[in-house]
Amino acid sequence: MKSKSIAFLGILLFASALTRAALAETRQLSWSAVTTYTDGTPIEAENTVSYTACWSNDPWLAADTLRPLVSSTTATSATFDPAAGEMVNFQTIYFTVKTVLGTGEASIFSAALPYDPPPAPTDPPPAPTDPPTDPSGGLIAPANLGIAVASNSPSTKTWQLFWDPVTIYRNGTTVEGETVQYKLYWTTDAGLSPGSLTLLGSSTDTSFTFDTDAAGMIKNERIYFAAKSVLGNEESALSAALSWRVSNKGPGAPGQGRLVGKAK
Amino acid sequence: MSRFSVRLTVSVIFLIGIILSGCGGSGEVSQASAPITAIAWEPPTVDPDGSPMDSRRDIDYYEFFLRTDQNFTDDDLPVAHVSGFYDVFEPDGKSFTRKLTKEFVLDNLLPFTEKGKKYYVSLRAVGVDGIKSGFMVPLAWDLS
Repeated sequence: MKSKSIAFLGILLFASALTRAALAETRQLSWSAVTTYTDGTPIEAENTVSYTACWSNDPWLAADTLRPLVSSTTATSATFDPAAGEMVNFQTIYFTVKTVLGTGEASIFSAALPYDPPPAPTDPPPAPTDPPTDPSGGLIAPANLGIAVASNSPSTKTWQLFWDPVTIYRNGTTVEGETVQYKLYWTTDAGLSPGSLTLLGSSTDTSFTFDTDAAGMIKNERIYFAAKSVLGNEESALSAALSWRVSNKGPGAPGQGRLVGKAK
Repeated sequence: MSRFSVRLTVSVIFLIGIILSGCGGSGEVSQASAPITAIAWEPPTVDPDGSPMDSRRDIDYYEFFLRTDQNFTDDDLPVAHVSGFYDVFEPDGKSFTRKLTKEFVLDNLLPFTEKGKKYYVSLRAVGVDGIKSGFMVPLAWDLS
């Protein structure tokens, strides 16, 4: 029993290769079979070995973010369709696998294997009567979103979002003679799925002040901000997300500081 | 400083730290006379108001500060940035385990010091939204 009491740490370290299954828009996640405990002792023949594979958009693989891909399979691979699930909402997702024995004992989850899903299906191409594509290549999205307590705020319910101005088109030419407008959105969905976005407001400046209560935000709830730049009828893609815990006062200071000697 | 440049700075500093730290184990020292080369800390788990926070998701990076006294203020400029986490890759070079940063080799700060002086070192956590923590209780670092 001693060997079994040791966590199955590392047994799936060699896990995983992603291959494209033939003749289908599916992918395959595979991993190495587990035949021993961490101390090298072979797993008893009568003890069944099964696997549970999950995915997450969290590189930390936090338990509350894991979504099942396949459960209790004795196979060492799983086939999945990135478009069928919500994977395509994320730029990068992470796979992880754990071993479960017939006795109920389970390993910890393996290290994370990153995977970039294909982009979500896009709208159909424009009809032939549509005007030609803008040679500028379109607007770039706002960058470097940040947030701070509004300087004149009497409480921590009024905050200011800020970002870098958009001054050039995607092809590098300068935006001249026109005012770029910015649309600000927020959502609780880390994947920024279009249906989840709530318009917070718009601005022609590079900052926007808002009240968390008026916006319907809940203190300490994790939300994500994103912005678009707008010029006439043209909108940029969404900016990178800014993750924020509503009305947080910043992290507490690091603690238990100590000086440590290191052998050379 | 943009997040990219922060990450770049952090990566370089962290790599230098790893190189300078050399091989072998570590052990805490209680006296400044010993060869002190690193500072260790525990990442915050609560906000200043006591609300729980998740260091894994909420900490972006740490800022390091040096002074010859303990009077750290918001006007002080950091001498180094270190990412709040690092990835340990498996032998396959593809999968990884993400870990919290809890240690920094002080030798990296030697270019900002004068031999024979006594310094105090402190750090602040910077959230993913850019909001900064207060200063950690300063620690004496004696280079005499």
